[in-house]
Amino acid sequence: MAQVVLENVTKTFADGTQAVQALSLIVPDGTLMVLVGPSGCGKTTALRMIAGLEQVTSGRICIGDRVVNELTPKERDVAMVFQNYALYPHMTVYQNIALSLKIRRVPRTELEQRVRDAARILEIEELLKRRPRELSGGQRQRVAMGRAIVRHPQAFLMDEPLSNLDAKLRVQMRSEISRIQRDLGVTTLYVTHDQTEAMTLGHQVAVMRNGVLQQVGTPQDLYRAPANAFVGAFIGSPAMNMLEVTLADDDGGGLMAQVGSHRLRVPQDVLDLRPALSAYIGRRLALGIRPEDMEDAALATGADEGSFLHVAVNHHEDMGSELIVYFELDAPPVVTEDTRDLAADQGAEAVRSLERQARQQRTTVIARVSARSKARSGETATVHADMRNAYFFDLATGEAIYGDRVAAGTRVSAAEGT
Amino acid sequence: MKTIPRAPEAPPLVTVPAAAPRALIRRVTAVAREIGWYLAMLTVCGFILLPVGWMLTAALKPDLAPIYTITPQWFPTHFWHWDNFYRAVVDPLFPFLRYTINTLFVVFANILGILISCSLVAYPFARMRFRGREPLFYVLIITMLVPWQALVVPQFFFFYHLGWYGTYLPLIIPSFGGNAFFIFLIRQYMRSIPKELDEAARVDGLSYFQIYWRILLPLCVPVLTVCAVFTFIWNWNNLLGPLLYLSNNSQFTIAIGLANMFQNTANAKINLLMAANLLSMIPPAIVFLVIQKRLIGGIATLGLKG
Repeated sequence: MAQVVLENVTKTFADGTQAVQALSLIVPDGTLMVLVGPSGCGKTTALRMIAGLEQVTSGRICIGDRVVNELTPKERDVAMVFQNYALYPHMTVYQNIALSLKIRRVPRTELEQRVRDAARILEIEELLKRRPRELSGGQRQRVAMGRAIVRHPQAFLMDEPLSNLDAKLRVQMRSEISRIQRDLGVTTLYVTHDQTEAMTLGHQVAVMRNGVLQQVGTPQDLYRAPANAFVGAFIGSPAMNMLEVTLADDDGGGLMAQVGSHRLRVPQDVLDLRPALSAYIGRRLALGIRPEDMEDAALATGADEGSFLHVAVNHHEDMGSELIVYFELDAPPVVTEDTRDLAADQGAEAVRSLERQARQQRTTVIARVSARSKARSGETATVHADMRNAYFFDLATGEAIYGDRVAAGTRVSAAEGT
Repeated sequence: MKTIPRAPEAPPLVTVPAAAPRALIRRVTAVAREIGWYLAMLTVCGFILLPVGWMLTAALKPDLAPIYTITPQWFPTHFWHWDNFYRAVVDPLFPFLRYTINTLFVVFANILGILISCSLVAYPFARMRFRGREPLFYVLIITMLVPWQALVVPQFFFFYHLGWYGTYLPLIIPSFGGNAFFIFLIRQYMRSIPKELDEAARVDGLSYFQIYWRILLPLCVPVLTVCAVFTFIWNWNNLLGPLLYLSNNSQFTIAIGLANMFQNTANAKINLLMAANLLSMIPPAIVFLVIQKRLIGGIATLGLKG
């Protein structure tokens, strides 16, 4: 077991594509680090470079205290779990798991013991004599894991290992992977495009976009203090609402955000913690509000009336435990490269929807309110947006606006105690 | 034609005319079509088997019975000399068993050569990235266009000067140099095997040769079977090669032995010749029957994934 360090690692393919640009990352010993980002962001390439399946164009990769750039995959002593499992179809489960040990000439008794141990950890002891094609997706996934853990490698590399499983099994295997990783304490790099998987699994999460690392931190860091609009919109489900607003002086001496025809008061403590905001007075910027930071005004006791929105509910979804409310505001959506990329990742329909909203200068906002809310489709409602938890981003750079005094990982409202 | 009897306890309350006869007509036409189809296929089969029937008639005739009759005699015959088959095998002038062993030796040496060389060459073409891979592959494909007749004479001189005339070497060694067609087939098949298997194997610590030997080769069994069967049949039937390079009767293969027998024994023992011919058809037939399913499976997969 060892820490994995990437220093300015760049990968340029023969056709000139820069898959990974100057990626620097430290994965401490025993940590589960998740690399997450939309498809084509370079996360898999980064993983393959660590495995030794791709050459590094420039930069340095260290596993433990060795620089491994020029080492073969075998010499790097890492184990990899592939998206399609890559089980050897002509071998039994036992042979699949044992192959790497056999190649390393591990003595027979030890080999058998280690295969049995791995099978026991993964609860696949009764499958050892079967061939991969006789196994279900979940079982194949376990065998692929078995092949990795039997090696006792320096690090595990997992390339979207759960993406071929159905939703229920995915949740189950996710906690399984988490348990195994914790029990074995092996440094793990885990690649996924699913932010929920990243948040639930990772001790540390690294968000990538177009080959560039956007932010690294604990799931809480990323959720509470996104470095830019991309991370803000990517992390969280449903995604953060992003609106183009104007920051202006309030009549009462404070600040307010002009959201189309609506006004939202920006409390003084927000300004205190984000002093850089004062430079944006009279300018347009991106306002980000998470769906869960909104509430039916009738149920939000003690809420500031300055941040109430009187809206017409387009559509609501009753989830039982909560109510998802969709409404429109007459402010344009944030259309930057970040938001376009994110929409593109969700499919053509999301891109069309974003373009339509931009054309109409209206934004569909999603709010997650209490199940007790009376808000219903086709009726009007008053929604409270908790501006103490709002995010502000520069429209040109996409950078989050904090100010020197805010350390990453802290959030304005400590009162929530989460 | 089977009609379904009506259940006795359910007398028809409402009669449904027209529907039942129409179903019956449809069934009859279906059966008739089936029968017609089988008849057509049997006719074609019979036509193809006519010469074999004639061979069997000839093989069963006594030594002095006329063979070349003006109306050829097809299979049902009034001569039944089954011992001709035995005599063909033990004929001292025509060491049938010797020829068979020689042929099997040449055939299996060729299969071994083809399987080793072609899979070994196909592997880097299918799986490795190296400079000049594509041009080299095209050169390989172009060699398939060189007519075989153009090679016979230079090849003969080449092997003659190596001192290989009168040995099996010219019949065997070339197969260890690969065959463009088989290399192409195996490469296509290997390309259809997921690349992640190689990568997983590399991470597992296998060398390039170990990946070839332990992962790809076992997965290529269907295509290797196709190559082996083709090699078997081509070499079993190969006449010109042995005719060019073999000089000694004890070295002869079946094909050349049969040809010689036909020339030497002219009209005397056509019956034995035909018996020997029929016997020589058995091994390829067995190979075909045994591997038929695999072969078709293999060819089908090649077609789909190639």
